[in-house]
Amino acid sequence: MVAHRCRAWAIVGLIVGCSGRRAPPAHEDHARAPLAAVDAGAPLAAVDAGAPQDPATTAGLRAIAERAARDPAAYPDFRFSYERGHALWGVTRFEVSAAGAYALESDETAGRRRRFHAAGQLRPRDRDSLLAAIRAARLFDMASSSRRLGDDEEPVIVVMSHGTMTHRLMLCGEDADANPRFDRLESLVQELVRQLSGGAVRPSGQ
Amino acid sequence: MSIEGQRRRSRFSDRPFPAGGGPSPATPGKSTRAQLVARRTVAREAQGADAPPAHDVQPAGAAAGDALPTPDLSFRELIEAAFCRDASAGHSRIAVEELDRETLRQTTDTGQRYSQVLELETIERRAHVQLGVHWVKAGYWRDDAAFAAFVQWVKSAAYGYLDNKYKVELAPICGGPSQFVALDFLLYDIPDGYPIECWGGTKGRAVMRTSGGTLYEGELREELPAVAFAHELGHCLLGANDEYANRTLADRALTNDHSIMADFNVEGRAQAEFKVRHFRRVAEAIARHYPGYRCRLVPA
Repeated sequence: MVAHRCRAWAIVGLIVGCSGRRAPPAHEDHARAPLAAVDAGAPLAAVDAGAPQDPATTAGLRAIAERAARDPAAYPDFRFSYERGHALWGVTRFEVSAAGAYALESDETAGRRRRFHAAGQLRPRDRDSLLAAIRAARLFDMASSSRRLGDDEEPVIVVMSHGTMTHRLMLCGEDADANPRFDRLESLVQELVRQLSGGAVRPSGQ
Repeated sequence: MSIEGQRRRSRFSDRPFPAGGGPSPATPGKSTRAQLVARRTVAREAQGADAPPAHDVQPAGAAAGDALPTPDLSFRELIEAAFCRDASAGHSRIAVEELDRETLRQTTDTGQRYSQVLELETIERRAHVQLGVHWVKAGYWRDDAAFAAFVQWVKSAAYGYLDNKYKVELAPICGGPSQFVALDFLLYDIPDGYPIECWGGTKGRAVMRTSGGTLYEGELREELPAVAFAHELGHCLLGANDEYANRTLADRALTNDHSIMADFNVEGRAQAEFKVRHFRRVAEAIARHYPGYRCRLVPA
C-alpha cells in the first residue's frame, strides 16, 4: 500500500513539477489557534458522517459529480471536502469546488509547531485530475465505516455537496488505507496538499 | 521464626529461574514475569503446613461472637470498627495473604477493550501491572537486532513514564502510620500475548485497539519522542482514554493539565505525564486487597 501510494505521488509530483506552477500565497500562523475557530460556518462544520444518506440525494449528487468530472463548468458549485486527522497528530482539511476554488488548512506540519492555511484557484489540470479521481473512486458506492475507531486512529471525513444536497462519508483511517479506490484518491489529494503548501503540510505523517 | 518471617526470608532468597523460564528483555533492575512467578512459587512453598491458605481467612469482623459496638454506627463504621478489633487482637489479614493475581479489564471511550494482569505482593506491598505482548515484526528492519532494539526502546519509553510515578497510600482506618504500595509495570514477551505490529522503515500513525496495536518506526523516533509511545502503551497497559479532540467523538472528555493522553504536542511534550486518574482502576483493584485501609494514589 505504501509503495502504491509512493508511485501515485511520484506521478502526480511529476505532473505538477513539470508545469512550473508556483504555489499561491499561503499563510502560516505560528500562534496555535484551534482549527475549530476557523471552520465556523464552513461546510465541514456541519459534518455528521453518521447520519443516514437520502437515496434520492445520493443519486442526484452522483449524477452531478459524474457530469462535473466531464464538464466542470456545468456544475461549478459542486464541492468536495476532505478532512483527515485528530488533534493529537493534526488535522488537514481541503475543500475544492468544480470551478477549481480551493481552501486548505492544516496543522500537520513539522512537529506540529505551525498552522497552515491557504486559499486560491487550482490549475485546471489539477482540478480535472481531482474530479476524475473522485469519479473513479466511486465514493457514492462506498459505505462509511461501520466499526468504531481504534484508539488514536484517524477519522477520514469526505463530504460532497451541491446546493442543499450533501453526501457524507466517514472512514476509519485504516479502512481508508485498505480501500484501493479511496487510497488512490487520497494519495492525489495529499499530494495536492503538499504541493499547495510548498511542503509545509505533511499529511498523515508522510 | 514466625510464618511471616519465613516468608520474608524466602522472598529475598536468590533462587535461579525455572528451566525455560528465562527473563524477557526488561529495563535493568526491573523484575521479569519469570522472576515474579518464581518468587510466588518460593513464597508459597515456604508457607508451611500451619499457614492458613488465603481463602480460609475470615473476613474482617466475621468472627463468631463479635458483638456490634453500637447500633448508632453506619454500616461502614461497623465494618471499620470490627476490623480495628481484629487488628488490635493481632489478626492481621494482610499478614496471611501472600501474592494475588487478578485480571484488570477496561474499555476506552472508543469502545476498545484491554486487559492486563495485576500481580500484588501484599506483604512486600508491591504491585506489578503486567501485559504479555507478542511483538510482530512488519515492514523493513535492517536485522533482528534493530527490531529488538526498537521493541526495547518502546518498553523503556513506557517504563520511563509509568514505573514508580505513583504509589498507593494505605492509611489504617483505625489509626497509625500509613504504608505504601509501590507500583510498576512489566511488558513481557509471549507468543500468544497482545499483538503489537512494529513496522520498520515505515512512517505512519500508531493505533491501539482490542485486537492489537500498530507502531511505526519510520522517522517517528525523531519526530515523536518516547512520550508518543508511552501514550500508546497507556491504552493497553492502563486502558486510558485519549483526552484530545476528535470530531467523530463529540462526547470525549478533554483535558489541559499536561496529561500524556491529551494533546501533548500543544501542551508541551516535556511536561506530559500520566495522571492519577489513569491509575484509578489499578488503585481500586489494589484497595480491594487492603480492606482495613483507606487507599489513595500519591506521587511516588
